[in-house]
Amino acid sequence: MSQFLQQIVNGLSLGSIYALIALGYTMVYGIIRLINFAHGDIYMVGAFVGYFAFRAGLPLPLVFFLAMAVPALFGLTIEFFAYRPLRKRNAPRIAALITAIGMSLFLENLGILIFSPDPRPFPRVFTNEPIYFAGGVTISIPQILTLAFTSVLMISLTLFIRFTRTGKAMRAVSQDAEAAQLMGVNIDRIISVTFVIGSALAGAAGVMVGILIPRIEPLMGIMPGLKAFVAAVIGGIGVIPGAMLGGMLMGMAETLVTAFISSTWRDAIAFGLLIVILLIKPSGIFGSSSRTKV
Amino acid sequence: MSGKTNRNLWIALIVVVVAVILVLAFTGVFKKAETQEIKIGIVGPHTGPVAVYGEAVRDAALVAIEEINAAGGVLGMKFVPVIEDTKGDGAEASNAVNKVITRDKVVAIIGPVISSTANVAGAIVNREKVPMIAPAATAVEVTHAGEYTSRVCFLDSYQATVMAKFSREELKAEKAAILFDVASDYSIGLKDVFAEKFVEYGGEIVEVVSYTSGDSDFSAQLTKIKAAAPDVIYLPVYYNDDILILRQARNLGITATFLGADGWDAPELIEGAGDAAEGCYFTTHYTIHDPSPVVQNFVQKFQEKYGKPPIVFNALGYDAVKMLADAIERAGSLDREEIKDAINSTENFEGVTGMITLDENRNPYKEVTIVTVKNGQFELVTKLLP
Repeated sequence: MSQFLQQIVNGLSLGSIYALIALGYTMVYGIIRLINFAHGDIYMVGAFVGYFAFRAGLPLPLVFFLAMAVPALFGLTIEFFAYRPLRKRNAPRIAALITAIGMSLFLENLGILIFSPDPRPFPRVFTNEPIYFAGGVTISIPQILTLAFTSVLMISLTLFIRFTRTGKAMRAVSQDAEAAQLMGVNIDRIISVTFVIGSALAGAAGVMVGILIPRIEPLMGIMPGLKAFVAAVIGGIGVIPGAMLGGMLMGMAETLVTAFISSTWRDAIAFGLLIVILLIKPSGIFGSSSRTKV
Repeated sequence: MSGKTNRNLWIALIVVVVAVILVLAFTGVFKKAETQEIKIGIVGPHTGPVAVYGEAVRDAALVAIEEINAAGGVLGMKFVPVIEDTKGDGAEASNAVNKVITRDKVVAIIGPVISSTANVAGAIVNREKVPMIAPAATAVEVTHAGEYTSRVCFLDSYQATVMAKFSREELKAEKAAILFDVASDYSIGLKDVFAEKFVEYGGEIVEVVSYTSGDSDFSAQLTKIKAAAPDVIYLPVYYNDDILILRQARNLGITATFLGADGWDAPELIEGAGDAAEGCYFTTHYTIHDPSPVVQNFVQKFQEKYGKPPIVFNALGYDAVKMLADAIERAGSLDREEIKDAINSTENFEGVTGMITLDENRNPYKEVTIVTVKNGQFELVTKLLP
């Protein structure tokens, strides 16, 4: 029983990482209907910024600030130079998708060029000693930090989208971009904000993964990126609570499969979940099944 | 008539004389070349993805050759290295081995380094009857190629046996768990042997869990191991994964002793894992912290030449050349068959990586070095025979 509880804790902390990355996918998709494949690599950028910031001996809050600010800047730049020109020319969606894949490859190889492909151990930030609970369940400080900080980020995001002017504008653009524009919403600005927020969340996830699973490398974003994308689809792409739930489900499923079936089934289950969801409810758990209006 | 017979006789005589002179000259030249130097092939991956291992073997082989030549060579002749690159690729390895045999007429070959290329080379050298000593190829089948193939490194299974024995007899471990990589033959092989031997020595295996290369979250597996409450955890994987696993294990409150194999043997382990690695043990081929004079002599010479401490592959490359020199000395000739017999009857040869005796399968029987991590340093614990 205590093992089961422990596995739940493990699953939640892994899931919260997926959830944070999935948020970026889902927000961007919600606004401009683009699957931003470079998102997983933004997360890698966050992890590397965190790595150098910790090595430089900066305090924890400053590390997190930098690791969110730099990826946010990356997100903004990518949107401005890669996606916006396509949008201005009314390029087909497939062109934007291919551009996203190109950006992803660019960031990965840039990472290899600058940081070398060798994996690096992330600096030790906290003690190895965990905190013990009744029944032998332990929770480590990185796990606490991950769960707590992820919750804070998700709650603030929800409040932001629900109650601020910009948040309302974001919702408006995602419902009907043209109508929003007619109501005086600056669409370009909203899209930029979306990229900034999504990338900052991915950057935060990058640092937390560095602390939780202390190994980083330039290609580290590929697999979590894919899984977070799957998580976003499972939850209902474009729906923010869906991304959170999808991420948690994904982390939990992976952990429980590894613990009670076999680690070889881990990825198969993760992507199997996607197939099941697409068969049963293609719009995802929270997705509305309305057809695209023409 | 008689004039013609006479002329024929003269021609015959001249032909015979010329032939004799030619034969004398050729054999003379041939002999002269052979008496001056002993050509040995150093074949390994010096470029490509596994270049680091090939370069390590080559660098140390050159140290050994310098040392041998400085001491007057073998049978009064100097060793001359013929270096060829395999790029870690089977076809390239085949070319390289054929080249040193047919073009350079080497007396013996040191290499290739990677098991797959050593298999290719093994087939060729046994056909051409050229002795070959594989320094670091650990796959079992490498020496199955024939009696011209031998090696200086021990087999993977060998170190798992020693670790099982050590953990039972020295650490008094009752219960062991194993975490291994299902996508690595190295890891699977070590796991099988350790599990078998640990039980044979009277212990109990309480949990066996696996992961797949590339995984980075091990919390599920480690939680399962923790629930089984083992005294020791055998972790036959490479140091990159070790770092992650050790740190995650300590985060989960696992205090059991981790045991590893030669994949752990890298300074990066301590750098990355820090105090999470403290008190762990692993088996390896040799350690620079071994105070024995043979090891210290090698470490010092290598440092002088390259300005860095020698790694395991360096030690194996060095031993391969020294073992060959020892065999040629004992054979007392450059006849390849006699050298082969001398290599195969190597007994108690004092190498850097231990006292080497080749068994009937031309695999070394030698001590395995056990190293621990103490105060952030590797430290020699003991050297054990299986």
